[in-house]
Amino acid sequence: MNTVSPVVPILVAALALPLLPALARRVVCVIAPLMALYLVAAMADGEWLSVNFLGYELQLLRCDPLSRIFGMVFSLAATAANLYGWHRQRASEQIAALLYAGGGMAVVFAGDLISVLFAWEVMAVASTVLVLGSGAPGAVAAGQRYLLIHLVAGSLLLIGIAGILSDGGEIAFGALARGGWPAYAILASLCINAAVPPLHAWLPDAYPRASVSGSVFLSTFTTKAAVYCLVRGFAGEEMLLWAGAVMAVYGVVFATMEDDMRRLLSYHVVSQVGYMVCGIGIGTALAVNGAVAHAVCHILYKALLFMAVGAVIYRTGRGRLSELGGIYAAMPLTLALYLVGALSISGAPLFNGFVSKSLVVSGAAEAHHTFAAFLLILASVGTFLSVGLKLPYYAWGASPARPVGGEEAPPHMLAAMGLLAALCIGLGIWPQELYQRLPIPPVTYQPYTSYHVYDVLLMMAFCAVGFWQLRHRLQPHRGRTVDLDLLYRQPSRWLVNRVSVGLDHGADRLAAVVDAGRAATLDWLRDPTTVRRHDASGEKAEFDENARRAPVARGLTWIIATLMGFAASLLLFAH
Amino acid sequence: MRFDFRLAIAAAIALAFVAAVFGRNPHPHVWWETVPAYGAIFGYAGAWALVWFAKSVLAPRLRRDDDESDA
Repeated sequence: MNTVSPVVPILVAALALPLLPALARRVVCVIAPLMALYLVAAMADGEWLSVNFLGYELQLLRCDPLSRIFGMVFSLAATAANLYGWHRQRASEQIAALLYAGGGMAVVFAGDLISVLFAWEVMAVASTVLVLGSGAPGAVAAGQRYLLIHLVAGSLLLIGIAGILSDGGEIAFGALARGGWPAYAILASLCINAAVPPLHAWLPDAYPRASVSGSVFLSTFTTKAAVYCLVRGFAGEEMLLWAGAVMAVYGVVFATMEDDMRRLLSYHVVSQVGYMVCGIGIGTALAVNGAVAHAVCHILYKALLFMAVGAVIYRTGRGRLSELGGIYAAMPLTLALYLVGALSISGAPLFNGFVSKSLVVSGAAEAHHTFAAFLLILASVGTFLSVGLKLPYYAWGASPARPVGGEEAPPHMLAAMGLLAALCIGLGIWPQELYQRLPIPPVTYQPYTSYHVYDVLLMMAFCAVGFWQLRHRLQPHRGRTVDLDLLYRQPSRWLVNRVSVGLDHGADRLAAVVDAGRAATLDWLRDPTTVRRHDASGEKAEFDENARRAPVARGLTWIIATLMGFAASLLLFAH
Repeated sequence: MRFDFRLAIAAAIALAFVAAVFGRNPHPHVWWETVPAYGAIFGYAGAWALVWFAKSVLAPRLRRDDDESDA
């Protein structure tokens, strides 16, 4: 039985990377998360690694079915993402990616709230480095916004934890729902990290700015770590039910307007996390298991989708659908692997999204949340429309406005995508391999019933008919979409402008005071008598060193003579 | 004879439609699960509704040029 934290190999690798040559760094980046996967698989349920910190007993390693399944998929995704990023040269990006993965693992294996906070901050900083370090246009500004939003989320988490501890609450990370205002502060923090609208705009803002491999990491950890924490702390919180159902449709609608491929997929991260948040809010065993299962499947197929469009960007240098088209002949394998991810996210039978999405939708229907179930099915249609039809049609199929070029993705990218595609199909064919690892056993749900398969196939087929009729209206155009971040970006811009104008005025006045003080001090040092000497008009008299020299010299002569006289009298009369 | 993809797709949809009409959900939880071939209605009407709402209602108001200010 293993009692070594799966974070250890990842952390050791991150610390060792700066000392290693380029090839060794690449190998270590792939092997470290694989070792973490082994450690997770070999770990029994229990709690280890207690550390005393400021009088609190921190539990750095707690393993149960919920943390184990997230730990397994996190380490698998990190392995695939590092294999995909084999071409990376910069150690800083490799270290940031490993620390980000390690932070995510530390969150899911933390047994107490303070450890969760520390791990979360590591994730926030490491992921910011991934956004900032890409060198893409706008990456620095987006990275700054990303960091600010996550500092706010981290502060809310800290306030919530401090509130719980000051109320005499438990430090252990367990159910927090209905825990008063501190629990709501933590819930708000998790909602920011899960990209629940209107707190979601950081996600489509930042994810497309990272490097192609950085986007794969970003799509995996932050939102899913938040989902893990919501499952652990807030299962059954009804507010989440409606937030999740709305965000599922919200993300789909905004994705329909998008031209940038990675931004389109980012909006589908929002949408798919909506299914998970909704399942958590429903709170029944079926729905919560569905949320966890969907998180696992989502990590696999979303990483695959980001990899495939990243390969297109890597080979063509273009990330917008309006600039792409007709690359089928150049990148057929990438298209095939992309389609596995697209059919998975669309919930097609034999792919993993089918077996996980069905759990959440059935959970909503069985709990008689009819409208929520309706929104989730509508979001499913929109997902197939954008990811399954529009994106591949305009990137690989339709004729481009100008020639695109490009060639097949490099072998390491194909290998990483192949690994994830195999997992997507494998879990779709053998859902029990997933179901038996879910946190609330037993899972008796049977996704492959004839009517369910028929209905999903019908939905997809008729959606495809609708797409074919509407494909010209879906034609992507250059531009960007204004999102709800406008609500805080404009007021904050106004506030910053006001503050900066005020600070400018204040700084000018302070500089004037300092200048005046400095001039007066210099005058006084040169001629102390000018402080009290004014001419007839009340102005200070001009300094004239010859006029002042004689009185100063006379004064000094008297002082020296007095001192010498005092010294001579001491010598004469001392004995 | 040249293979006609459109005819093939139409035939597949027709067959699936017939199958769905005769394949009913034995344990419906929501009312639309009692409607024959509800998946087809969701798929087709949903695609039209989403495209109309996103491209005709929202896009004219929310889409901007890349270098255009938010104000």
